[in-house]
Amino acid sequence: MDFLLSEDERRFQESVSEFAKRYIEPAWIDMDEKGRIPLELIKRMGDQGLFAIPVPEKYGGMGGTVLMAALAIEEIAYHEPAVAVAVYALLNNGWPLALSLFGSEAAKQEILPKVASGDAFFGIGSTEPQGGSDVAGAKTVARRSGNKWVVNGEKAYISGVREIQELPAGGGFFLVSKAESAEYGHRSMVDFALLPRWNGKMRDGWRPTIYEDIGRHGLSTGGFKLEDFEVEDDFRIGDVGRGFYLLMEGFNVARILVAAATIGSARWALDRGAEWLRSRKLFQGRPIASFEGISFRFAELYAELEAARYFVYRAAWMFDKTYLENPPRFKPRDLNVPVALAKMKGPETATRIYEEVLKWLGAYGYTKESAVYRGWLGTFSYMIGAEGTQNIMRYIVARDVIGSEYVSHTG
Amino acid sequence: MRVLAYADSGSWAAQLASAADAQGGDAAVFVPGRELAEAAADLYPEVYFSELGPFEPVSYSAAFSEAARSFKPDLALFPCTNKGRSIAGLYSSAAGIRSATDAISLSARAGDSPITVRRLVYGGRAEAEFRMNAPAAVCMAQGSYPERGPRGGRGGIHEVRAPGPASSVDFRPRRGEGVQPDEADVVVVAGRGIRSREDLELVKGLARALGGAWSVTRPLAADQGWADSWIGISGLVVSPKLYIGVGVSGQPHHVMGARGSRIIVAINKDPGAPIFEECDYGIVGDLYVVVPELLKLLGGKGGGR
Amino acid sequence: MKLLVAVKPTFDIGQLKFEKDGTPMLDACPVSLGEADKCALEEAVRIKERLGATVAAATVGSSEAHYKAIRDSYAMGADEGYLVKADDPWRLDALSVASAIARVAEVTGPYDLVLAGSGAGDTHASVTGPMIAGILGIPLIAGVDRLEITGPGAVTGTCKLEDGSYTYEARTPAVVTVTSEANAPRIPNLRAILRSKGMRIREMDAGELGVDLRRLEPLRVGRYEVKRKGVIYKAEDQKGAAEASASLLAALRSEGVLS
Repeated sequence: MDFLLSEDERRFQESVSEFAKRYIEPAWIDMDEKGRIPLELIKRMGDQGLFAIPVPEKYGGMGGTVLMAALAIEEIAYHEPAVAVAVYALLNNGWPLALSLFGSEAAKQEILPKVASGDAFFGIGSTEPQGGSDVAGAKTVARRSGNKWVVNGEKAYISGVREIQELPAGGGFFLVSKAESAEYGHRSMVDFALLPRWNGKMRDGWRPTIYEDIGRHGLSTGGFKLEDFEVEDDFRIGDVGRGFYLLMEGFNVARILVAAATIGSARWALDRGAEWLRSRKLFQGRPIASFEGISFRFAELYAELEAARYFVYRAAWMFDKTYLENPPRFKPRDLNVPVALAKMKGPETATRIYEEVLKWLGAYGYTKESAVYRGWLGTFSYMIGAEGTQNIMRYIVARDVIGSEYVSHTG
Repeated sequence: MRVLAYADSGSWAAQLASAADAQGGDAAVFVPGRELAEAAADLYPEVYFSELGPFEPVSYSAAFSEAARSFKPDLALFPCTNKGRSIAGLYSSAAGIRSATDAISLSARAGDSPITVRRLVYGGRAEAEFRMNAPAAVCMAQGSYPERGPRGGRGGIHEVRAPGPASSVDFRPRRGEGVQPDEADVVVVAGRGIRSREDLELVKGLARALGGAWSVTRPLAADQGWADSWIGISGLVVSPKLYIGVGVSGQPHHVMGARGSRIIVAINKDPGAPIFEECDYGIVGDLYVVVPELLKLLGGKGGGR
Repeated sequence: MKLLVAVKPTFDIGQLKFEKDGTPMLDACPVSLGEADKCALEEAVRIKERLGATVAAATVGSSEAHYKAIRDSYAMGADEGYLVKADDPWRLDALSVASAIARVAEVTGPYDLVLAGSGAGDTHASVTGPMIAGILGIPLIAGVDRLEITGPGAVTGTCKLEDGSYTYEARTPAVVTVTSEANAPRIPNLRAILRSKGMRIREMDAGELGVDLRRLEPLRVGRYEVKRKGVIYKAEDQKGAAEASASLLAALRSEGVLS
């Protein structure tokens, strides 16, 4: 069992760290304050090969692994604790990979190279106004019409709604819908690569709105109505009836990367905390690190962060051995618990670390100047949901470990 | 111990004269130009010079080697400046002799005894002591030896043949207003705590009030473009009587550029800034509040404002 | 055109820690290709892209970090890599390193330019470049922040020295040392990193090159103790700033550094 990164993984991690230090770190507070990621930065990230890392080279990807994508996301988040850029990057890695695994050749050739180059965004469109966790309750319906599908419905709390309107090529979402009828159930779902704006042109039947989040301001969150939106059958992802299951597989990669982002941000917070504990001196020149109530708590948080990190990389390693290696070592369902553990621990560890570090910083931490609160609010979005709520993660673990016949409430 | 120094300024001639004195034995200097030679003759018993154009390392080093052929030194001393290091490197490799840079102290006794050099390594964070056998070449760090006054008597001046430059040279002198940092008794340096080019006025004002020069740390010059030169081992190395870092955190490469200062003062709002471990006096506070207070006190006492 | 870049892994001195007795903990200090070396590689690769050239990287030392330095050079665009084997490379003296590089240049050349990083990083890179020029007997342009091939057989470099800016034009072959202000070195992407993994590194033996590698034998290496007074005043607010300023000026007057 080799717990160390390979030389290439380390070199790649260093290259991302170098990039983030040079181009992302100096601007992160400004991006969070102004509420946008400059398009030039997105293009630069595309040129640097930070999108579509695990997508095969023939589609413009880097031909890397999910483990490398996780390393990249963690480094970006370390240099951008508010995680807007990190989340943009993770979405633009995870969902393009899902498209690459399950989509048609035509869709892959059309979409993936532009995503890899930084000209387009491809995220997730699953949540609806009436519910996110209950995917089987989706009311967005796609009806077949010749060589096309006509989609009607509404999605909410979707990242990237503004960005696809501004990027050179545009972009869209891995969209989840019911096939033909909105009846409850997970066996009649179908997924699409839905591109509301493509090659610079807006498509008909897409009506977006943008929300105002309390944190992670650099990346937009919005919703959209689909009114007779047309999607070519070529852009259907996978078979009709498989939509729910493919979505779950896509969530597995997104959850790994989300956890990576939260631990990168948390590592930044803990480093700031350590600096503070060394330099803040009270009660006649004692560094506050010398008070065990503080240093022991630091040690506990460090332990949680390390544990959370190992969950992420173990899950990433397993994912690569399931989808990117032949013959696969694991089956897709073997990933469910390891991924749920990673997504459970990552955001929760980040939140605990931020809370504690803010307490150590005292009144200074409560000021905008300290900037620590930006990471707290940014990572907290993953406590709330996004790629799966914390309770769904618990549900997955309980169902798998205790047994679905005891735990399941979906019959 | 026969010591031949290279100097291209009065200050270096005087520093290396005292470094040479400390070794006992005979000392001589090579300088570029008769004017410098005349001045150096007050400091050294033997002075060599060539008329050379603007600095070009290969020809300057060849001229120095001519002087060395005459004087036959056991030890060659150079300023640890960009120019000095180039000449030292060319000279020592051509002569096949060992060298050491960033030397802060030197002890060499007569004859065959080895030379003991203490030099700074790892960006100035550590020091190492070495023994080298003569003949050897050493670059002395700025300020390691004090400038020596005239010795009384005049040294002999010898012109040596110099080759033409190995490359064509176009020299543009640094345009500086007022006293230059490497010549001033007081240097006030702006670091990353200074938020804008306009705010440099605080630092310039403090420099004026103290009758000194102002400069910046490398990021303010190389990244922001707020100045042409900076203090640091890759820029100017200064050793004034008083150095004041305003919003300077104290990165090793910068501190190396001011290490020789007699008194180091730091003003920074971060109590954990490394510069506070390397200063004589420090104020932990917001420079935007502290510097105006200093200016008030200095202005009131008649320091030029 | 053929270009050779001398590269070397250097310690990240900002992260260097010391034992209680002052010995530097080098084993625990991260090591990587120096900033100025990367700038030298970047200049070489830019010349390659503009004018067509091959770029070779050379290093002296057998540590993992030295092999990685060559692989990192490949990832930045170098075509060939030479490694002169040497155990315990961290104590090699500058003249030995320069001699080895000069011999690599003679054996694998002829090169139009030999480049190296200058300044910052490690305190001995600033003499290695000049030494290589001295050994090869070719012109030296030291400390460039701008470099251009200005014609067949001609190179021009601009250097910012203490007293001003010097622009040199030399005939090639020449040695050029590059400062870390010269450019922003490219950051290799994953594809370049993966590609560099498979590229061969040509190992060379110092003895076969006829180079005598000598190591520095320090009598003592210790933390450089700065014995400064360390008198710190606090200025938490306006009043505190006024008091601290007054105390500081009084102290400086008694030190005799204020007129």
